[in-house]
Amino acid sequence: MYFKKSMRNTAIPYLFIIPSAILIAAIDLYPIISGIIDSFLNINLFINRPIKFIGFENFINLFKDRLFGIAFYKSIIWTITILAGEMIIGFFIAWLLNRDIKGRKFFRLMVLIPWVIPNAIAGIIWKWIYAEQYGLLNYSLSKLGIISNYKSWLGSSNIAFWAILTVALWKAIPFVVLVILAAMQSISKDQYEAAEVDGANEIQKFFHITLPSIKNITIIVAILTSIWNFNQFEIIQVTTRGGPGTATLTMPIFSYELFLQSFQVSYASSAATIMLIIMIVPMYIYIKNVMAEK
Amino acid sequence: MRYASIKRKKIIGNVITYALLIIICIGFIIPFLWMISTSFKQPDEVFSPTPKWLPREFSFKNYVGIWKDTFFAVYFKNSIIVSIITMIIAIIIATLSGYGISRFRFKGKLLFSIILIVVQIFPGMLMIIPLFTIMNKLHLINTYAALVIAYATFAVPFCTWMLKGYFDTIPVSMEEAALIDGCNRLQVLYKIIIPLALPGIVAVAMFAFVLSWQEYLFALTLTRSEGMRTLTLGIAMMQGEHGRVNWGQIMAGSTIACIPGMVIFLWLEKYLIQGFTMGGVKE
Amino acid sequence: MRKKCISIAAIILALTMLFSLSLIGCKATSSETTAAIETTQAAETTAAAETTQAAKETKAGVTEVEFFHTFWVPEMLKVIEDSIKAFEAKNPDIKIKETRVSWTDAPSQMMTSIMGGKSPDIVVCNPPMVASLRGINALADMTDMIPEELKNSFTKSAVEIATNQDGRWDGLPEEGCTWQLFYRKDLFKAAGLDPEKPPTTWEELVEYGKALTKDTNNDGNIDQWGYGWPVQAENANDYWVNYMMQAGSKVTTYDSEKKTWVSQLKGNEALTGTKFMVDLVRTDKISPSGLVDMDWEAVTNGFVAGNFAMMYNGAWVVGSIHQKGPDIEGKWGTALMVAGPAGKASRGYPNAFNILNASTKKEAAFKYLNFLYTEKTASGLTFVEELCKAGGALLFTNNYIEYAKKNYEPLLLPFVDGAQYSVAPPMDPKWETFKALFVGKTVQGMLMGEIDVQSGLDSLDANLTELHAMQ
Repeated sequence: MYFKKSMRNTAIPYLFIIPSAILIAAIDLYPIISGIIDSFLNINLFINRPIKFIGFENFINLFKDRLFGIAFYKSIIWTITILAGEMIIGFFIAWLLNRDIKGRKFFRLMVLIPWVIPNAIAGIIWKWIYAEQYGLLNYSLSKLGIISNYKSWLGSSNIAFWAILTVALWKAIPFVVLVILAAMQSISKDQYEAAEVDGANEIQKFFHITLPSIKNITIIVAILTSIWNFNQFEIIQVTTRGGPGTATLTMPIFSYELFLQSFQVSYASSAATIMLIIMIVPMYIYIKNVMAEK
Repeated sequence: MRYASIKRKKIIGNVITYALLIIICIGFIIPFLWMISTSFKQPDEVFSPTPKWLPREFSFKNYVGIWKDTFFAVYFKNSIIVSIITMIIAIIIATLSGYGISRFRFKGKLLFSIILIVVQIFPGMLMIIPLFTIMNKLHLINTYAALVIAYATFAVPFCTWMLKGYFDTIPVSMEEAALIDGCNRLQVLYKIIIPLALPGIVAVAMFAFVLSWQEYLFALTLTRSEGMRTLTLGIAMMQGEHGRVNWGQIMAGSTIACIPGMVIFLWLEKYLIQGFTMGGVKE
Repeated sequence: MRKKCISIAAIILALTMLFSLSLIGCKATSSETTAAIETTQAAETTAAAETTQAAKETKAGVTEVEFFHTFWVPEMLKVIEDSIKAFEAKNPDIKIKETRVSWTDAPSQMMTSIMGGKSPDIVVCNPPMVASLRGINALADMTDMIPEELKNSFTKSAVEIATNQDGRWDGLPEEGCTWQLFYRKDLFKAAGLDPEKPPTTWEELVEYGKALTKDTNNDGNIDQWGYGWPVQAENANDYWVNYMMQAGSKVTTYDSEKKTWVSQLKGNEALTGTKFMVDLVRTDKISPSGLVDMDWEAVTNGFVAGNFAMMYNGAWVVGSIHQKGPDIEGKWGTALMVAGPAGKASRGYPNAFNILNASTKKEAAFKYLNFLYTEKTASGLTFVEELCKAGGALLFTNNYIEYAKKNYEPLLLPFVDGAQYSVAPPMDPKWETFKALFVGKTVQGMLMGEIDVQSGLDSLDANLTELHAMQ
């Protein structure tokens, strides 16, 4: 909905845009670019030395770095598992909520709760639940007879990874439910009724009507949440800080360690730049789909 | 006969649906309830080998204690100040540019729109290293200004894109009439658009507030004194290695930290959904 | 070019007009906007005012000294507050501003402030932090400021931390702690061990540990472990270094000819110490691998709950157990940490007060520090001694150790006696980086059985050597 041609004037739109454009250039684009430039330098705050351009040395070192390999691998497993989990569970809950039921609002509200808790706080709550001695989880499971001995949930690398992943999943599902449910509700009832006349069952209806109608929004939500999950820092930082061992060492935690715990600014920047490169393709697909949605 | 069996099937289906929903909801909400329950417990109850769901008494000791004995009040004040300033700056700038993108066609509009979308989903970890270095050079580390600037990096694009979507839904005819009557465009914006879009603007402002309120990474990096920490960061730091960890108080603080997000997200959630489908979103 | 300039000027002008217009604009809504802008301005001014105030000197003639510390025990905080009040009363021209931070966050928070050009004046550092800051020449030389008498009062191990390789003083040893053995007398009795004879050597520790490791409810799982120590986060590093030192390793040494630090992790002693630690979990099985997620408090909780019969933990834990476990009062004891092949060498060191090089108020800062060490409180102790007393900690001076022997509760005595056997971590400037990036991961990995001892040590040695080579 644009003004008619006569109402337009070439300079006016820019006047509206400029404050925001200048601000975004200054606080978003400039830092991003300077971060990329930093990754080709040799800044290390714990070493007094002249700053100079060292080409791809940081990147070459990263690819030789065992920890980087681990962080990369963990991040990929982390992101893909959460994506699969949030999609399957999210779709299932959305589908349940989309049925003809009473109290939908109430159930929906309950499911949305994890979404509104700040990430860092969610981490703290779960850390307390996972606590070995006074934690709720050990107590409940042993009361129910599922475990006979208190487990150290964050104390072994296998369990810790999945335990923290569960927290992230718990935080991620509600958003998927919210969006998918809204999309499902916008599908017209007629299509379903027509299918019912043809004798289609629930599963057929889901795959032949629901899924195709919300394909675009599904792709958007999948990519968006994956980008978020890939960058998940808060939950891991407040619970395990990447440990025990390297159990939860994902790329954001790894970059943070390089940056704020060992102050290798340039090396950390190059790790962050690689994260950016990994996200280019998903971002491209995301933008394409968002533009198409309009 | 056939009708009866369909009906029975439907009843069974409904029972299963409700049962599943109840189980799922319990699973989703337990951690939240546990936080609230713990926030009312005294230390001896918190460290009890047989944890109880209901605290012995609903005393507000932890809430009073965290307010009086720790820096919580300072964190709270900081979060309020930083979030409100961010919100106001973001909303003023975003109203202008949101209106601009919504109403005009101009060269570079597509590029600008793409930048807006990309920047919103841009990960904090990539931003924070250069942002820190820049703030460092400007001697802004550990100031409100640093936090406001850092939060504006996501709040401005987010608000712009959300408001653009909202302005799109407002018909253009009234503005054209006003322009013919001799109002300038800014007057049109303030006289016609803003009153019409006020609910949307308020909603977007609220989201900007909550996003800043919940932020952790930027606050962790850009502040260093108790006096500058924000709420989420301050609470997270209370469970530091060598502190005497008072889980009752931490949970009381966490509960307070959850409230704004809870109220605003759940109350205005439909605006988020609208904005989301058009690319206006930030975790 | 000129055209461009003009258009830019036009844009700027237009922008200014736009904003002023938005203030005047249409009357109908302008009041609201003005109000909003006023609020922003008001808020910004307050914010700005507060930050400037926090940052530097306030009113004319008053020097503000920022004191960045990690104390967290309420009683100790009270002493700090009292000392500041007393000091400010005597020195109205100096104001001391406290900044509190947890040990975990201290290094990064300190570095951000130093880098941000807003460095505090006085900082509290543990030895690795002293080493790192020394490595980038961030600590002020205090040699000429500290009176000889004060210098001579400290124990040898304290002096080692407070002086650099050239023997210059860049810190004042303050409150410190030693780490010793805690054991449950009741569980000793139940296992047929003499509750008055805790283990004294590595071999005894393992032997006792095996007798104390039990499946008390016969469900096939061990629920009482012989021995435990914290391994979460930086603890992994701190205790590992100590086990190596118990075996006689120097861990890392300074080569004064080449002026570099040299890793000693390839040495046999390092291997013996590391192997002993890992075997406790993997071979002797007297400790659970879940230790990797336990900080001092989690291990203490386990001790109180009877899951650990013995633990290696810090002096402050004595008070913590009194608080957490009234039920086990009288049923537990403390003793010197067992001796390794190289003799007694338990964890123990003072932290230090340091003045930063970047500080512009070094004299005022030192005045306050000196006040802490000389001004006596009503009880006859100096403030810094009060501080140590409040935390059940030690001041590493012979005088104070004598005082503590007479006045501390019996359970704390091993911690006082232990001061003479205590060893501080290596003062290698690269250690902090090494620790943050590699040690925790590898040590935890070894304890969980994911990395074997030899290859773990080899990779750590390579990492440290590589860090040393970085110029």
